[in-house]
Amino acid sequence: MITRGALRKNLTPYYFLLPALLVLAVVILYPVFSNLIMSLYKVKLFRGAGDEFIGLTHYAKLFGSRTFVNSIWSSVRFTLYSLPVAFVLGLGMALIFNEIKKYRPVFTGFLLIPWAIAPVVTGYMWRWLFHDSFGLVNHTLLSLGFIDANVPWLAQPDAAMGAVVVANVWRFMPYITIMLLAGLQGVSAELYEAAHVDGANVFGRFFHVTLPQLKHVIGVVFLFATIWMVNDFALIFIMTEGGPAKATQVVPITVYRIAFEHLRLGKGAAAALILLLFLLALSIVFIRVLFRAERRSGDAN
Amino acid sequence: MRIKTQEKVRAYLAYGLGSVFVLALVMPLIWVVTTSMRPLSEMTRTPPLVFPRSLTFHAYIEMWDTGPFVKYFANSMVISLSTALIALAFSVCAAYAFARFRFRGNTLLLMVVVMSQMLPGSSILIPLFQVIRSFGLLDTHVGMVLIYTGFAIPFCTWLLNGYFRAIPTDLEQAALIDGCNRLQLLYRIVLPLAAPAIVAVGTFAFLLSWNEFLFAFVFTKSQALTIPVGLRAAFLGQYVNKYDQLFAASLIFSLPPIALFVGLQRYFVQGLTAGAVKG
Repeated sequence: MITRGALRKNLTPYYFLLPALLVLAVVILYPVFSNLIMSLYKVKLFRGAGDEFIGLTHYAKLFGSRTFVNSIWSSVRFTLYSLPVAFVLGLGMALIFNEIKKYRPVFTGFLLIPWAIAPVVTGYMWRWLFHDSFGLVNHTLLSLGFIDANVPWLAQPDAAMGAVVVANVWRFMPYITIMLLAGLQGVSAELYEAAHVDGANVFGRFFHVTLPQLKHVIGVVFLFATIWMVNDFALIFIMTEGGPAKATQVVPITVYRIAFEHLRLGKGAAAALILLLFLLALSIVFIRVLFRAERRSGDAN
Repeated sequence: MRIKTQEKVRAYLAYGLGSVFVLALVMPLIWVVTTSMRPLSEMTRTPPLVFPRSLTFHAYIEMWDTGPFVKYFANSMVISLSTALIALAFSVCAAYAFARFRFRGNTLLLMVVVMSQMLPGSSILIPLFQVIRSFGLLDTHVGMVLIYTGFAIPFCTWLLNGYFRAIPTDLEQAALIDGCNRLQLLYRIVLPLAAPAIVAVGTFAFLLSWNEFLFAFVFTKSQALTIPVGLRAAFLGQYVNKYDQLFAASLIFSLPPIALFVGLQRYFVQGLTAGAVKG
C-alpha cells in the first residue's frame, strides 16, 4: 500500500481537494452559517442601513404566525398521506417485479420514467390531468360513476391536497420499488425454504421472512423519501402555487414567499432553519433506530 | 408436475399484474403526449376524448417560435453541460484525494462532503441569493453553473470515492515507479478504469441541473432562464394556455433524462441502492 501509507506528508491531496472544497465553501458551507446568522437579524432585500440584530424575534413571530404553523401542517399532511400510499404500492410492485425474471429490465425501465422526468413536468402533467373540464381524472371518475359532476380539484383545499399527494405518489413510487427490489434480491432463498418447511404460509413468510430482511432498506427508503417530500417545492408550486387558501403551502413555499415576495430575508432564513433542524432531528432519530435495530439483530445472530 | 404448473401460473400472474401496474404508471404520460398531438378542438372538449380522432404535429413545430423557447433550451443545454464537465473534473480530483491519500482532516472533510448532500435546498436559498448577488452573478450562466456544481459535487465525490477505493493500487504503483506524477496517474490509469462511474456521475450532474426548478426560478430572470422555469413564461399566458405546445416542449425537454436514465439503468440502480442494501 505505498500509495496510501508510505507517501510523504505533503500538500498534494490538498491541491486535489481545493477546487471542489472552494465551490462547496461558497455554495453550501458559507450559506449554511450565513443562514443561521441572518435568522437573527432584520435583513431587507435591498440594503439601506445596516441589518438590525433582533435575536430570536423571528422565531417567536413565526411560531405565532398562523401562515407558518399552517404550512407546517400542510407539509406534515402532504408527507404523511404520500408516504404510506407510495410505500404500499411500491412494495406491491417490488414483490411482483421480483417474480419477473426474464424481461425485468424492460419493466424497471418504464418504472424509471416518473423518476427521471423533471418535477416541473410532473406538475404540469398532473395539473392537466386534474383539469376540471378537460382532465382525464374527472372524466374517468365520472364514467365509472364515482362522482356526479366534475370536481374542481385544484380549486378546493382538500381536493387540491389530494391531487398533489397523488402526483407525489406517482413520482416516488418508482424509487421505493427500485430500492425494495434491490433489497429483495438480498433475501436468501434458504430462509424461505426454511419457513416453508416450518409450515409458514404466504403471509407468514412475508411477515416473518421478507419484511424483517428488508428492515434496513425500508428504513433508508423512509428516511430519504421523507426528506425529499418535505423539501419539495417544484411539484406543488407548479400544480397549485400553494393554494387554494394556502391549503398546499408547504414550508419550502412559505420560505420562498417570506423571503422573495415579502422581501424579509431574515425571517425567511429563520423559517428555513426551522425546517433544517426538523429534518436533522428526524435523520438522527431514524439513523439511531436503524443502527439499534441492526445491532440487536447482530446480537441475535 | 404440479409444482411446475404452479410456478408457471405464478409467473404469468406476475407478468400480468406487472404489466397492469406499468400501464397505470405510464397512462398519465400517454395522456399528455397525446394532448400534445391533438388539434385544439379535441384538446379542449368536455367530456374529453380518450382516444384522439386526428393527430397533428403542429405544436412540435410552433413551440420553437413561441416566446423565447429556443433560448431557454440553449440555456439549459449550456448550463447543464458545463455543470456536468466542471463538477466531474472537480469531483474526480477530490475523490482521488480521499481514496488514495492519508492526510490530516481526511475523515472530517469526507463527512462534510457527505453531509452537505443532505441539506434542504431552501435552507441555503436565501444566503446563497446574497452571495450570488454580491458576485454580480444573478441571472447569469456562470452563476447557475456555480450553484449546480456545488450541488452536484457531494454525491459525485462520494460515489467516485467508493469506486476508486475498489480499484487495486498495483498499476498506479508501477506507474509511479516509472516516473508518472500524481495527475498523470489519475488521468492515464484511474480514469479509464473508472469509466462506468465517470459516466454515471457526469449524467447525474447533468440531470440535476437540467431538471432543477427552485434555484433557477429565484436566481434567473431572462438571460439564464432554463426550461423548467421558462415553460410557464413561454406557453402559459394570462389569456391563452397553449397546453399542446407546453406538453410538446415538456416531452422534448424530458427526452434526454429518460434516454439517459433508461440507457444507464444499471448504474443508476447501483448508485441509488449502494449502501442501502446490506450485501
